[in-house]
Amino acid sequence: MRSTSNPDQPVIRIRDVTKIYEMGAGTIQVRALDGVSIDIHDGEYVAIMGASGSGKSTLMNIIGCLDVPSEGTYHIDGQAVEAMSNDRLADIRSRKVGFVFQTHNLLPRLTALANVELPMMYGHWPNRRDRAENALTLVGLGDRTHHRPTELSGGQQQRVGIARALVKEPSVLLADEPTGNLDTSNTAEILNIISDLNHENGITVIVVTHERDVAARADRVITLSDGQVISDEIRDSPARGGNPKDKGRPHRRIPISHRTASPLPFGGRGLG
Amino acid sequence: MSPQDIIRTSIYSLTANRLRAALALLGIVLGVCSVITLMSIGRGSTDRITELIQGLGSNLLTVIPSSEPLTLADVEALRDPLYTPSIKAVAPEIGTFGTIHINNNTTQASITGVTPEYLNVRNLDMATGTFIGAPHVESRAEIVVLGAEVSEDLFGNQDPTGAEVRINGRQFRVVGVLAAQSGFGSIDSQALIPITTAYYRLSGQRIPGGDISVDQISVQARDVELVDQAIEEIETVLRLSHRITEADDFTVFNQQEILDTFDEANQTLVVFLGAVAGISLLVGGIGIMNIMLVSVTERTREIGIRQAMGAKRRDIVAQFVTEAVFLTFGGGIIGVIAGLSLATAIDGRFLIGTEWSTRVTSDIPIIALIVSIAVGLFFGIYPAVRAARLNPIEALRYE
Repeated sequence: MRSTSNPDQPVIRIRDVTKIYEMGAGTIQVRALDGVSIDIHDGEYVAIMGASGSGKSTLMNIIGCLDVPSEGTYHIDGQAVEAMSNDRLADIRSRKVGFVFQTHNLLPRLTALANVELPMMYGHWPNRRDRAENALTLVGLGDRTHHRPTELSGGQQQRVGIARALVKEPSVLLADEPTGNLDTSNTAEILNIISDLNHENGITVIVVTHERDVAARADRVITLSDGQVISDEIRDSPARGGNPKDKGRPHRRIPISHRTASPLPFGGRGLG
Repeated sequence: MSPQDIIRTSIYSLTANRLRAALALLGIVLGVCSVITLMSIGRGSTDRITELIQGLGSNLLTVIPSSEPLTLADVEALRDPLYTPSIKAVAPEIGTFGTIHINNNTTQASITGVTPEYLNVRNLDMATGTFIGAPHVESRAEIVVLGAEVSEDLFGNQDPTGAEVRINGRQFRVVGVLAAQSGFGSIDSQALIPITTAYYRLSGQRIPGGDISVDQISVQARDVELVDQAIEEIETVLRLSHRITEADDFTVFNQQEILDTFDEANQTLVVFLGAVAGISLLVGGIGIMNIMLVSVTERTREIGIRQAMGAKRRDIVAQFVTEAVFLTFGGGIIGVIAGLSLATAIDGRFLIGTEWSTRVTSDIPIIALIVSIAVGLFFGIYPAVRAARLNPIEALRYE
């Protein structure tokens, strides 16, 4: 997917990250994260779990470069984020992070295609329309490009959201409760797409969720509690075994960049 | 963000709430419209005054008495080409006010006592009949030349030449009617009689020595370039004949000075009106700022989405400032069209007791458009900066 110079270098490298919020004019300090260290490698499918207040949202904000840690270091694709200015953070978000939100957060008066083109406005991207069409095709909405969000089902809206996150080929797809607002069948649809993107296109996926069955699709589950990592389990691809839909599908390569997908670097994790 | 993206995004946002955009625009429309209209009226009235005074001739000088009266003897002295080679003509006048009536028709008019030179010195034309001649002055003839308006008041459309009218009870014969001149301080509402008649028959004033005192003397210089020289000659002659050693007992006005005085007064009025119109533009600008602040609050979530997608602060600022400028520039264009239409519509019309004259020039609309863009920039910056300073995490969470 990407040109990470060193295949051993993690996409996400978090070391001893602490996030302290000051509340009530500095009288109360809340440690939302307390010494978290995580490495996430290219091509991984990771779920971050935890109850509300466990610090998972804070961790997601830091991974997504929406926020910076109070202490500790965070590297995304080898770049140190913790000391960046707002504009540099915006730049990193623009190039390295694709957000999928719980509420799809599409702009209601734009077509699906225009919504997917939106992130490419920030930066110099050629062939925006082609890329956006390819991204929509990738999530199975190639025939819905000119529909507005209100003309699409909840699952389709979220698929547009995923296409928008993918269109710039980010280092990581960061999904925050991506199925939180969906019914069972739409949830399955979205989770299948995310699994496909990871397994077949080698996209690094981080899903933040509090639902066990959503986390069950991931290859690795990190659980947070009170701002600390309490477990970090790597599993044997339950999703692929559990979802017959995935089996019969032809192997696809991500067509966005027209580049050949690099072999997925799952080595050593027993995911092959 | 490319300029096309910024413009497209701004149009997208503005069309989301058309009514609100239109109402915000209205303030600017009214401001720009009133600026354009008032400036055009100001220009128009400056033109009118200039035209009127220049119509009198820019080589015209006016002498008025201050402590001592001016007399016909002074007029004669000024007419002597030996002392006043730069002077072409001298026209004294006496102004009184009177009632003119014929049968049951009555009108009020300024009765001005003049000499034959008055016609040329004041650039007047005859509509019918003849002007006052030297023999009339000599014989204190009871004849009158009517202004166009006076003639119409008394005789309607009939030619009054030869008719008898009564001025303050005395019988006068109408010998002619002046061509209509219209405009400010017009001759139309005057009646002209020989200066001697005015002095001996209508005016009650007398001065020692039996001479005739006059209210003012109009002096025509031979050429515009000779005006200054003519002033010197007038001063020399009058100082000699009045035996002045210290302060002058008369004043010489240059037509240009009068023009300047009027112009100055007019400019003050225009600036004042412009300031009032400018304030309405300011109020319009505050309206824009208000709408933009509401818009930023409403679109907090959209801003959060854009920030998450990689929008930098300057991208957000550019988007919101462009929206504000679109509003004010759009309002400016509509305001210019409305203002120019209004200025053209009232030009030459008689409204609220005045005849309006306007002059539309290309610089006023251009300035108005530039100002409307500036208003958008000025009042759009603050809401835009507020939008750009939003914390993306909080903005995304905003309901």
